[in-house]
Amino acid sequence: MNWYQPSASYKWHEGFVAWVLHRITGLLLILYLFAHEWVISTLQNPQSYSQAMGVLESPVFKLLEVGLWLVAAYHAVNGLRVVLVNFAGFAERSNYKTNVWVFWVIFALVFVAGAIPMLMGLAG
Amino acid sequence: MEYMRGYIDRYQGSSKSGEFNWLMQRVSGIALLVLLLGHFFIQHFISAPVGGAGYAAVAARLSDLGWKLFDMTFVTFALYHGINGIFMVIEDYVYSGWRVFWKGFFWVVGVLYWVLAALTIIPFKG
Repeated sequence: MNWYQPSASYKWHEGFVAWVLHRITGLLLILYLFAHEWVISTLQNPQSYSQAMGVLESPVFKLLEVGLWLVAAYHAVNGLRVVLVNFAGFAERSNYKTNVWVFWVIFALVFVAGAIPMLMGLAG
Repeated sequence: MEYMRGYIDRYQGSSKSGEFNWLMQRVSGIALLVLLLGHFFIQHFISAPVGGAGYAAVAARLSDLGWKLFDMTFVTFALYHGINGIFMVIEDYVYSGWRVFWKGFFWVVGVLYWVLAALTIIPFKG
């Protein structure tokens, strides 16, 4: 494999993993926005609305909704970390890795806090 | 700088896409943090638990001028942020003439989705 000379190689350190996930979740969110907007544009009367809600309130879609919250909460919390890295010195050599882990904890708390009412709706 | 053009195109990716878009990605991101948490909080903590996901309740909210302004602001920031994010991905991975094609394509997609949102939100009467 001598002919393969990558122009860059990456260590899978904390910040790189956070960046990869930020990019993946970002692409998922814009695809969701396209679908979300399209569906809503077709729900302009009670008949089509209740028909669509019949599908969207099924357990499968409720679980997908929790998945959406997982993706959105990650992108929101990590995005806030990126802004703090850019403007508030959150990427100093001394604090960078710690900050990534702190944000994982905040993300977990935000996700669980939001997922509880959604899953309660699923049970009820 | 001209002699570095190829190098910058090839390796700098989204970091050269312009200070304005870079800054606006942060600004729109912060705006979305507030707007999305509001959207989510109202849907799952205030509206849904009292059966507010029925047509009448949703239609009443969507007919309200204040909510139309909220939703237009929300969708404008969301589309800008999302399409701008796609541009950054394109600039990182597409080096050939296809870059112009894909950026143009998503420009058109973004504008069409904004028009669709405006046609859905603004004239809605219930």
